[in-house]
Amino acid sequence: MVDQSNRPSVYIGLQKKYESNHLFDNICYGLEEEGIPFDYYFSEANVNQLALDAAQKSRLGVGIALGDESQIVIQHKKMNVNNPFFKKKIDKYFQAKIMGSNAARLVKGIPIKEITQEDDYYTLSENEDNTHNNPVTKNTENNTTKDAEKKTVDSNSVNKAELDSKDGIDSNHESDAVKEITQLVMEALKNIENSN
Amino acid sequence: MEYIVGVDIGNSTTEVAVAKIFKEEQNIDFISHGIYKTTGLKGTIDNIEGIIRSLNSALKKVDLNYDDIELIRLNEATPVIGDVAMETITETVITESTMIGHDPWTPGGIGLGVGYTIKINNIDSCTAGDDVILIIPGDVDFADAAEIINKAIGRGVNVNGAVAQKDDAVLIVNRLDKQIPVIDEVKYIDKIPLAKKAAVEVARPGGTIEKLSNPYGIATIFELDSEDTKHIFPVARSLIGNRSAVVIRTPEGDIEERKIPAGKITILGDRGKSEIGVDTGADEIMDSLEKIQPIKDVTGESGTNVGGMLDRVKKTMSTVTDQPLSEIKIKDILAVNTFVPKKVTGGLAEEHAMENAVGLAAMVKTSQLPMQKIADRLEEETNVEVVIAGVEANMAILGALTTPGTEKPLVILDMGGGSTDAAMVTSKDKVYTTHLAGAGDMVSLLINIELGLNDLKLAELIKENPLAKVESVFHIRHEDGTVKFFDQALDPKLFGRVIILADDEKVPIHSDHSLDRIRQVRREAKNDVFVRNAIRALERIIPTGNIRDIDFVVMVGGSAKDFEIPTLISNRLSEYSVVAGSGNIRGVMGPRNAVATGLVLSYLETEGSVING
Repeated sequence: MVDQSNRPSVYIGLQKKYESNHLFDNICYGLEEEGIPFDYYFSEANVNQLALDAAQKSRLGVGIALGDESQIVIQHKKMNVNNPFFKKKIDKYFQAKIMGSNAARLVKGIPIKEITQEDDYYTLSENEDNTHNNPVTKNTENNTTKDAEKKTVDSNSVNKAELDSKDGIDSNHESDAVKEITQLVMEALKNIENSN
Repeated sequence: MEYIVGVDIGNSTTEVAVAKIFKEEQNIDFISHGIYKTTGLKGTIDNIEGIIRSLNSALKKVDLNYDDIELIRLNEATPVIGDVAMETITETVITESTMIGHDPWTPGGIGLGVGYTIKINNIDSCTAGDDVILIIPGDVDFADAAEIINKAIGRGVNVNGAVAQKDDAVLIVNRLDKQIPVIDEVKYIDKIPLAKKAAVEVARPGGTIEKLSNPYGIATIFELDSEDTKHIFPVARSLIGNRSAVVIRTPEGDIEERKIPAGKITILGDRGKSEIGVDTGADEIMDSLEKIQPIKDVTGESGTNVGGMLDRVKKTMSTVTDQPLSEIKIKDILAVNTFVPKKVTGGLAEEHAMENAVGLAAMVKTSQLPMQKIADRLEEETNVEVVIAGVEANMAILGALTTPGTEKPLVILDMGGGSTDAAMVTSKDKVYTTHLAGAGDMVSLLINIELGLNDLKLAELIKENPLAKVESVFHIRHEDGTVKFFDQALDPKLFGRVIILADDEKVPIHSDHSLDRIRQVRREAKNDVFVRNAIRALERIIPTGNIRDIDFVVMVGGSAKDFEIPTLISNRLSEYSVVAGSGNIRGVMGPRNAVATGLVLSYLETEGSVING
């Protein structure tokens, strides 16, 4: 199921009705802030299955699903479908951003953030509909961990049809590229850690 | 044939040994042992519960009752207790001018930006050519912020950097036409002074800031003279190693590192009296102590932490022994230099600075503990004859000598929680003893303060167990680099964290410290306390004063069970060609049960004489 032609990214599995939901946007923001690229696709599978599918599609081995009454599931491709890495019903937008961050942190191998009940800084503003229209937010450039070369890859072209057609491609060759990227990310993180 | 029980009440554990004695053949057969934590302070009537529990567990193993026992032999516990305290001696205070030195996981952009601070909502008041640093409060959405910045840059305002309250730096920078350094997660953003010159620096991933961690870099940016550069130095120093920082300078302000009055201690010795300020550091204190030891008493300046701590140990001992306070004397102290992470006064993002501190352990000795009371009570409870059978040090030596491969002359190091006790027996059965301040509790204290844990239980866990890092949902990496895999996915709470591998449990450490740092702190604390005390103890009790004159050192007590303390000491003592290692009482008990075993053995033997040193 892993599509080798795609760049390494975290996959977001989404039930169709959440397409223009701010929870989805905030998941994306969380991933972007952490500097991890992501793609998304639609499916009506239950949220657990969706998360595992997404994880298995991802060349980073990490997927995140949104559906079934605002539940968000972070999943690792090697974990059990009914026993995911992290599952929570989310009712505040800022929590969805933390979930996005945590999916990225699962890739990076650093401690996940706690899901707090209140966000000290976050206020739900009236004009939120405007912010989510910003199309830039859906394709992130990973400019904290990798530089310009990656920016040429555009995830905007990825849509549902394309993804579905690629579903059949076999996933056996766990590519070196994934390992390489993961290693790069890990190295970068180690350096940050050491510099502390 | 008869059954004899030895009971040893220690500072932290109460141990029991049960043996079958064949008097005619002069033969002793150990059949059982028990251990329970000491209830109450050693030497008080509260100990009874711990003794009974320890005894019951030992008897249960071999199906015996109190009726079967001929005699209980209780140790003449050394009347020694210890306590620990810490005193900070420097303090970093930021007055007027200010800095943000924290390290968010994900700052945005790269480089150095200099300009005047202004709130993002007031950007319209800027004209083309102005150099500004934008302050972005949490109620401004990152997309709006980016749009505002782009517009401002578009009309010629030099937006050179930004400081955001929420975790938004990368999101903002990704939406900008021009890359600028952005620092986020600044909690007290409203405290940032406005319209003041500020510098924002973000290093590349994996790098550290270069300009703001260099005093001359700051001097260049803010055009400081030599006098001001001196004042700004603590800022530069505290930013070393950060990936990002903000420095904001107000004209008359400065940041200073203050020495805070830490109190004096007065050491009274046989060879004179010495008064030392705690703020001179541990080395100074230990030097003057060694010069005038043996010590008669130590007092601390009243109204200070040291004074309070020394008074507290004395009071405790006075209550326990029913002796007037004036007769309780502090016989030893151990001072260790340490660092304490303290919140910087005036910081904006909950920064911490490492302040110098001195950790202090004190040991009190009195003439005698009320052991007879405990013995009487124990006799009442069990209906077995109880005798106080011998001095702890002698019993410990008897027990330690059951370790295979040992011979007199021999030194035992009894490393407990409150004090480090040493005893030496010569080939002519002469015994010398000494008691030193500082042991397991001191190590816990040092770990607790140096890592800023504020959790003594956690510090103790760190002391007692090896660490590992959770690297994926399925595997951990141990301290030594070996990897362990698990069938079941690990708890997400553990993911990416440094964990303590306690018995069956994996305890996460919620701090930003790396595994290496925690390990280093742990080992240094053990070195500072136990290795140092091992050397101090040996130099005091060996009659010739030369460590090379002894062959065997046997370590016993709770801390000898530690997974690395014995090896640290062995390593150090091997420099003197001394055979040192953790004891193995009766060849089976490890470093435990030495005194209890000695109490039983002494039933058939006569005790040696004791000389206190």
